[in-house]
Amino acid sequence: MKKVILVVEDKEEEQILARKAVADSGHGIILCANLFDAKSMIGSYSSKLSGIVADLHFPERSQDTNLNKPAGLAILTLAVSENIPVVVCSDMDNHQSDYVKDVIRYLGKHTSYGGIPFSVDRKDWLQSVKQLNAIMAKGE
Amino acid sequence: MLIISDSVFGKVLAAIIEKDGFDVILSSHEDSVFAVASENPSHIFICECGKCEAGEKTPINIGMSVSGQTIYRCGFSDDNGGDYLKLPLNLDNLKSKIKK
Repeated sequence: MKKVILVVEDKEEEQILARKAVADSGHGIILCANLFDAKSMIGSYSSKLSGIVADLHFPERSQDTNLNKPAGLAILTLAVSENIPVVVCSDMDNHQSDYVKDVIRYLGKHTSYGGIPFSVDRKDWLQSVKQLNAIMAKGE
Repeated sequence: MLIISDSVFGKVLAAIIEKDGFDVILSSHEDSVFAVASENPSHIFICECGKCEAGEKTPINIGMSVSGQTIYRCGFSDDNGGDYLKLPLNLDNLKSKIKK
């Protein structure tokens, strides 16, 4: 049985890259494109998920047309409260939302692994999965 | 092969197919998304698919997490979808699909 990682990403071209990065790491993937579905998966499988890699800006629900909400912060909060290792894979500098970095740093202080890794200028799924693997290895 | 079922039908089907030498994993509908991700089966067989049945939402739920697997839905409804197997099943037909 493979370890399973939840990936939250709404853009199809990024989903392809994320899927490949997770597959290359030898893990299984549960992929969600909005906050509602991701929360549902965390609710169902929180004790079974090995980790989460999340974008920061994606819709709350599938029919939501506003793609610029930092819905990923809700995922980070859930992950920290459920003690699930989490990494942010984002290009948040393109969203003029500098404040989210402070929120991520604050949430990171409440993790057992010393902070939530995050990217700011471009999405690098390989790097994010690598960072998640390192956190998961610490917890074993 | 992953069989997703909450009923005795899934257990019976798993036993029959296992007897023919296939590796079979049985999952409930509730655990189906995790089972697909963790087991990465080549074939997924979703039981109880049809109007108002437990399996109706499962193809949607697992949809984003599958990649390249062959999925069959199974139930008692009249459904013309090429992926739908109407009960009662022709087991030889099913086995030939799995062997492909």
